Amino acid sequence: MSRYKVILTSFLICFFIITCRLFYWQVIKSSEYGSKATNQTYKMNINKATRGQIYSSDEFPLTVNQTDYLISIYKPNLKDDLESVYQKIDQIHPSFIQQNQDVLNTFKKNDRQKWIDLNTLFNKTESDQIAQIPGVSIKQLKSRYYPEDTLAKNILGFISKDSQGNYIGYGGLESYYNKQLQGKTGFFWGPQDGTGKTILTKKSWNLPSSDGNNLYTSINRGIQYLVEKTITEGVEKYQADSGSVSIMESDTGRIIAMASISATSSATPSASRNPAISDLFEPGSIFKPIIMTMALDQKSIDTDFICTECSHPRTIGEYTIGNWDNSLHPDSTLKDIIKNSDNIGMSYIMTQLGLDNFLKYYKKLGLNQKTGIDLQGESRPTMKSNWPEIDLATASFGQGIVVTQINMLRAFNTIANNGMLVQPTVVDYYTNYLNNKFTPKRKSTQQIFSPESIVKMKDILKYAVENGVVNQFRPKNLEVCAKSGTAQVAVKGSYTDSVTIASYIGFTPCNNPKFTMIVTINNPRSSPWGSSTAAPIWYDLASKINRLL
Amino acid sequence: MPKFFIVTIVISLIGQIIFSFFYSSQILTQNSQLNQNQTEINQLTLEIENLQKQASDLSSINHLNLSTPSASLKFIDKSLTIY
Repeated sequence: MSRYKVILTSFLICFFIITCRLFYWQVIKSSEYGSKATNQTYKMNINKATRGQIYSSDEFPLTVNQTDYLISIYKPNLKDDLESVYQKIDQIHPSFIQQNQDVLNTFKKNDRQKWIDLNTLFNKTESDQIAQIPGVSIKQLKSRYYPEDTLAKNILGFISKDSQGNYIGYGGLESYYNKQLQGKTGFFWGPQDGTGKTILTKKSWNLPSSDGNNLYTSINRGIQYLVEKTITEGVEKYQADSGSVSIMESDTGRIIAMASISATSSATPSASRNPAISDLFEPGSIFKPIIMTMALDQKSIDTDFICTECSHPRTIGEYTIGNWDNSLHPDSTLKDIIKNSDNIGMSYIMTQLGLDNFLKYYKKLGLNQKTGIDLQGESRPTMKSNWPEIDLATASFGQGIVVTQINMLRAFNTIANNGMLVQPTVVDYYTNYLNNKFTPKRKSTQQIFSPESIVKMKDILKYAVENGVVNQFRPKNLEVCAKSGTAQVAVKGSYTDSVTIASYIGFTPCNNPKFTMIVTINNPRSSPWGSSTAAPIWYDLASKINRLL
Repeated sequence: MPKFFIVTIVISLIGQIIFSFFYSSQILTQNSQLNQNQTEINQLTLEIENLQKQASDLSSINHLNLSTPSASLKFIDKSLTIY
């Protein structure tokens, strides 16, 4: 009987202990172990969205997504010796050993190093073959591929990893439209079996990823290629430091091509910087038609204006205003002033216009602010608040004021576009993963100059081209309204003749123009003048582009 | 009476085992199908990506330049107007 009691008591004690333990696990520690169990069976999978692509105006992909493969070698899992593994990989991907010589030798010699990640990129076929080698593991790497190589790189920008390891765009369209291009990351959180397969019967959460939007740009890749080739040859021919070209569709502001080239490859702007929108420069004489249009529109002058004071240099305080070739043109008309690029005549027109009107039009033309072009990295031009008489006079021929190339092109385009100011744009529309079409928000166009004053100005520009020194470059069948400029560059606070920015800006034909184009050549050594460096490039391009549009 | 209960319990147990067997086999088939489809989608995505890359490569101006001597390329400066 006592034995029975002992056994029964033991059973009861054991039962009590087990009950206490179960109470501890199931009640007190229930939430902790519950979440541990969920973590073991439920797994989170991140579904990364595919980045949207960028297309040219003919819907050719300027960027393509590609998957590369990286390999890692883990010594303990190797079945062959390391050297023969290297040889096998080298047979699949020639020059593999050569590319990784030092790293592979160190890995081979160091017995304590068990694992190595290699930077060589393999394609799909190669990675499939390498995956068969025991001890070698494969990792996918998403990247961008550019079928046209470096074409339009300043416009496109590039992608790279940020501090958190996510791919983001830098410069150009990749950065400006990063949000639209990158899409939305999705996830799946649900129970999985031991082999990692989803168990369908249990509750799961799934948010599908949505791929990034595809951008359709106004960039004409044929013209872009032509522009890059021509400006490269031009920079070399005129022994310049660099050069930029921007071309805009006159009535819409759509950018057809934009390129910047440096003489030395080391100085060539990276894809994250676009000099056409980021570099500020003094426009020089290409600014004269804008001032003259302001004066005509304000009715400060009319086409019967005669510069009676143009027979001698103009003196303002301690400064003397003369012409670029020290020539004098007495009794110049407006046509003569533009044709001869007469600084003296322009300074008197500016006096007629007055500071208030000048500043009114300057602001209306948006020359004191960003154009709002849909590219990352646009600079905002600075504008001084104090305008002594001499500064106002020099501003009449584009000295003492700074603009970006895109600012200048947009302002000059108002003459081409019957006085209407347009917003320059690169992206026409974008499509989402459901192929729905969206148009980015745009500023509405503004009438800055009256059509009457534009007709007068176009007539002056046409006359200046057909009777000026640049006419030798103009193909006979090409009607052009344009102006050359040679701006002195301020070095250490004073202007120097040794460094100039030569430029040419214009549109063709004069009525209902197809495009407006600006060419700037920085520091040309063969000749400092815009009329003999930027102008030939402009006409060469214009005659070809005219047939392509 | 107890016999009836025991038989009922045994039959329902066997029924449950058979039901579970077929049901789980269906789940396993669906799971494996899902997994296979997912692998196929991934492969097709990579294939499409690769084909896009090849197609754009072959129709690029860059490819034309590399495959044709530049001296033999001439800008077309003639135009034809068809009425």
